Amino acid sequence: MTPQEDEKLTRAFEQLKNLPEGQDLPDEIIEDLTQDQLTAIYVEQMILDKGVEPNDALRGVLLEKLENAINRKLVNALPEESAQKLESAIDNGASDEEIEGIIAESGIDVETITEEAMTAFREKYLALEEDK
Amino acid sequence: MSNSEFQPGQSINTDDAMNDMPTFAERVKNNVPEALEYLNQHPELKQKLASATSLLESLNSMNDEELEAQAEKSGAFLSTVETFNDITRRNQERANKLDELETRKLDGQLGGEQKENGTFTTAEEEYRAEIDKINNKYGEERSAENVLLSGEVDQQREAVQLEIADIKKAIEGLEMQKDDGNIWGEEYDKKKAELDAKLSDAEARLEALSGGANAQEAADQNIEQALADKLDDLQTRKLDGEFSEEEYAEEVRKAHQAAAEGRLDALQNRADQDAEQVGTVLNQIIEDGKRELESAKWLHDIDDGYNTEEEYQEALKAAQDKIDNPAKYLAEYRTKVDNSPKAQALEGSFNDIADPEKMDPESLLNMANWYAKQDLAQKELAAEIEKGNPAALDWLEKHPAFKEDMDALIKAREDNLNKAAEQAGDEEWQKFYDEYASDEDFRRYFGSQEDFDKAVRALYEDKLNYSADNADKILAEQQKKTAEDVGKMMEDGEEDVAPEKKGLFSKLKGFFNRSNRTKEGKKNAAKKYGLHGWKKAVMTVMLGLSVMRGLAGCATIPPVNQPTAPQEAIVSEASDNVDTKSNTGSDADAQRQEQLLQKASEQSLEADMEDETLKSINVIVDGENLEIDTSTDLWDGESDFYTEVGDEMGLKQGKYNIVSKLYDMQNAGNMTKAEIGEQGLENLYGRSSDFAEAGQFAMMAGSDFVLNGDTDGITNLNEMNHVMQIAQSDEDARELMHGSSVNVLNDLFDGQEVKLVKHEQGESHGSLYIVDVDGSLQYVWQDETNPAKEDFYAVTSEKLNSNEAGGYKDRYLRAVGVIPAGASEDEAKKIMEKYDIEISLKCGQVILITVDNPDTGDEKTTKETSEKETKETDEKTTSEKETKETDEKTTKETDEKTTKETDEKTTKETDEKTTKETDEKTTKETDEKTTKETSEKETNEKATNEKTTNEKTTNEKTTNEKVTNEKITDEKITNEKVTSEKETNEKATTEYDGKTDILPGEEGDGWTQREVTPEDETPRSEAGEENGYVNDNTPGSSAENITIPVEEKNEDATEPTDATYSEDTSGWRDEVSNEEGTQNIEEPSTPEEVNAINDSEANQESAADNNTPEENQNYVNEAMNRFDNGE
Repeated sequence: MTPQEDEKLTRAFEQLKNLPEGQDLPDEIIEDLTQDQLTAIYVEQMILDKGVEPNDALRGVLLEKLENAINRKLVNALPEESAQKLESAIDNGASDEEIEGIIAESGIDVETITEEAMTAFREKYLALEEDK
Repeated sequence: MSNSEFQPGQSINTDDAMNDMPTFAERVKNNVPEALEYLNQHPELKQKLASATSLLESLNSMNDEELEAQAEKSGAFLSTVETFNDITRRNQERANKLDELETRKLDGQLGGEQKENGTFTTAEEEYRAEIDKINNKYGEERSAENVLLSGEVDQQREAVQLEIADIKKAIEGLEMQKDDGNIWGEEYDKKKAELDAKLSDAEARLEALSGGANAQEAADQNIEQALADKLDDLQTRKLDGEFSEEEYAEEVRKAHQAAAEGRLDALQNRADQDAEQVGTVLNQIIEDGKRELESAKWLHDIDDGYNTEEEYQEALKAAQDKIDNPAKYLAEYRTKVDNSPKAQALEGSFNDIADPEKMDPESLLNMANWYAKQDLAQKELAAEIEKGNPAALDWLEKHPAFKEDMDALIKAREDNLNKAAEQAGDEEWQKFYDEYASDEDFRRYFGSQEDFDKAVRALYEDKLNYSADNADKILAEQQKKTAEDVGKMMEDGEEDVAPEKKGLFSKLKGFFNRSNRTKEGKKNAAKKYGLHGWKKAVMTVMLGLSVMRGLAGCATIPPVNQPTAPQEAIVSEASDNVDTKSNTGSDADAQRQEQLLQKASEQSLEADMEDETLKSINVIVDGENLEIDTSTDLWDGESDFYTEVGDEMGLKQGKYNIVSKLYDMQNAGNMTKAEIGEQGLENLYGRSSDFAEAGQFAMMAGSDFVLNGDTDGITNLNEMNHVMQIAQSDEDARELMHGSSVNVLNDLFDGQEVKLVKHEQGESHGSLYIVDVDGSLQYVWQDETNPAKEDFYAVTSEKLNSNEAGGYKDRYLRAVGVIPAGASEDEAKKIMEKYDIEISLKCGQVILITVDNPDTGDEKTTKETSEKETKETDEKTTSEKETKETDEKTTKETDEKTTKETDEKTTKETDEKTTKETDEKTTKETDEKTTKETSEKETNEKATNEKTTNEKTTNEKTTNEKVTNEKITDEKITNEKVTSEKETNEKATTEYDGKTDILPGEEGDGWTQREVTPEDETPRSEAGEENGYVNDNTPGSSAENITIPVEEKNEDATEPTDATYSEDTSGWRDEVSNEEGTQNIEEPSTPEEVNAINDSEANQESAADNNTPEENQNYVNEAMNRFDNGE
């Protein structure tokens, strides 16, 4: 982690500690979070809302399944033609920017699909029979 | 006051420190030298008593009311606990005495003693006399007949107490029935009266049986009343102004002291009935007096013994008093025997012993032990209460102030029992319970359902062996199982990835985690559920994530003898391997290594290194032809890690703050890629002079440091570390390593297109680092959980990144354990296809890194995934492209992506495909069987996402596998053995079948040659000579149409096609098109599928070793000749 990231974390901690109960997390903290951190927090809260005591085994499994669920939904949403074009581009060494471009051309709403995937995941987990 | 006053100069009897605590504490406080010395000699004991002293400090800081309450609580509790325990103990002793007497009577051992009148005692007479003695000793006054007839008094008492408890429960049940309306009026009255009568009768019998115990309780109550009266009086007098605050506090303390002494006296009185015990104590008092007398005289004789004569006389007097009046000190000694510092604290010594720094460590320890005993006593009492012990219940009834504490302890006990049952699973518990429930005889033993349940639960607890020690283990196992079940449930019913998109799915996984759009979606989802409620979650996660800081970026190079925590596991493994000296740890292997070193040392490379043709190589970087100056001096003693110490190399101390050019060039915005690449390569060659780093290249080549094939190959980190140890003290070895590294670099890049790859900050990669382990440099493997701290560049080539069996990539990944030991070639290839190998200068070291190959779309090397052992999802499918090696391949360079598999891959889907091997290996394929790679899914056990530590590099050498270049109809080369045949002197390596002690060149050394079949289609895998020799890079290829040099090939070899490189060098990702299209390979997704593949017939056969030693030697000679001729 870079010194800048350290500083961000430190600042985030300080803000969190002083956060009054019920107040939303400041956007600047959210912005500083990486995707891994976002999903980790999401899963953590999910487990807490389930009423289950979090543990590393459960965290790990849910994180993995959540990422898979998001990716699966995104890929399945791609039109066939776009999927082929995308795969070909990747095979030809397309950059992330180029991949983004193809996905954008496909018309799928990545943000919404991601959010929906996460929401569905959460709802499914909360609806599971009570864990042992 | 007891003999607790400080006696200046009084010697310290450490044996009696336990009994002498306040006195010793006062000596410390008054700086008596002996006391201070003892304190200094036992500083560690102070740590144990922090809690005890803090309690004392808190007591000392209490106001009147608090002190009263605390003294009341602790004093009453202690006295009660002591009473309870004392009664129990004495009852047991009495019972034992009675049993012993009964036995003697039955054995006819009683009677027969002559009386004064000349007659002899009868057995009965002696029996009765003994009974009386026992009763007198233990305070019992019942006649022998009554004892015999009614059994033990205490057992009777307990039986009555149980009866009383049952009656009370019945009364309670009756009242509940009345409340529920199930009983009323006359019926209720009648039953109530009956129960009341029973209760009265039982209580009366209990009173009769209790005898002394009740009297004892009465005495205690009198003391309590007296204390209460005294405190009231003091309060009144304080209000009247009779005392100052300080005086009042002192008076209160004295009052408590007196009460404590009274309680102790009550105990003392009971104990005094035991004449034998009292006599022992009295004798001890006398002996102490004598000892103190001698000590006083001794001290008086020394200069600094006593300050004044008066003090000496006082000491003599005190000691003599003990000798003359031991009974005077009985109470004090009883207190000490009881090990109760409470009384001494109440005597007013709190102030003196409140400062832990001034206390005798041993005394502090004693006090802590006492408090620990207090705590234990509380828990034991709570357990007794829970079990329904009548005496304990009776105590609780009389001490309601402790009910809350006892309830808490009982609840904690029950919680633990429940937790144990939960961890084992409800079904298992229910089954266990039902078994006992069906046992009527067992159930009948218990008076109530509650008692039965508790008993069964306790048995179950025993069965589970639940304890604090294994609770965590049980819990972890249960959590793991639960998590797995949850994972399965979350997957159930989920829409699968469309079959035609599975390849894309794998390729995109890493991308989505980098995509800002995905991040936006995640943020939206996060906000949707109210981040204000996530404070705890955020804190938890971020705190946990912050712990990972130390693992980010470069591997931490620990200072000497102090490995950093994140590296500990890896480093310890590395250090464990250091001493083995060989991959097997056997002396035979070590000896063989030494032999190899000797053999290699005999071969001079100076002539080779002076060859002008090796002073530069020609490469292509970013479409530009470049001539790289590769001239490096032979070992000149300069190393980033070592420094010359006489004839050997001593490890440099301190941190390795080496700035690499490549590392610096990340910000070289004004440099072209070609310039960056050129500088990078030159730097690499320059660094090859450091034998420690040269080992990286040597490991790639599978050679320790010998340029011809007449050696073993390095196949694991252990061997590499061993070699480095040798080189540390052997100049020739260092030179050889240097030469070897240069040759490897030449082979990798000479005449090749050099791929320059930029990696951005945050990208994860695996890398091999050199770390310092207790003053010895070791190679350690850092797996892909390691994100880059900053942007950095790396270079690679098609040859380096070839996925051919036995190639640089294969050997390297096996050596560092990314490819597990024992992996078949097919499995190895799958793993190779997931990663690209590059070379960089990072963290001050030359490193070989592995980065995800997006074409395979394998698991993103995240922290989470790297910790998991298996992934059994459909997302594991890889889309392996099997490509032909042709000169028409086009490539693209990207700044961020690593290369795909290039022309070393075979992509045919028919059974007639064969592959060519690259020019670094000449192999022989004797196994003609190939299998199609169809729908195979790779599990994570095979994947390199597993932590690749030094453990993965087992003692099995990959040289046991031989690759034959027979017809390979598919890209899957199953169970083919790879031999690293002799290459040219700068490139070829040999892998030795480590199963024997036969040296290379000798018969049966397992060295084979490679044959190239006509259907070889991989241009990079030149068939070379008729011997299948490869590695014929022709320097000076043209820029416009770069042909991967193909030297003389086997006449049966297929003419390689030209490779053309795209003008587009925006990124580096080779697209080796397969004329027949790409092939999507599905990896096995379940262990069963993997096993099926492994167990398939195709995988069972192995290639035969066909070459004779003579053939091998011919090959070597030919290779040497070719090199000498500049071919």
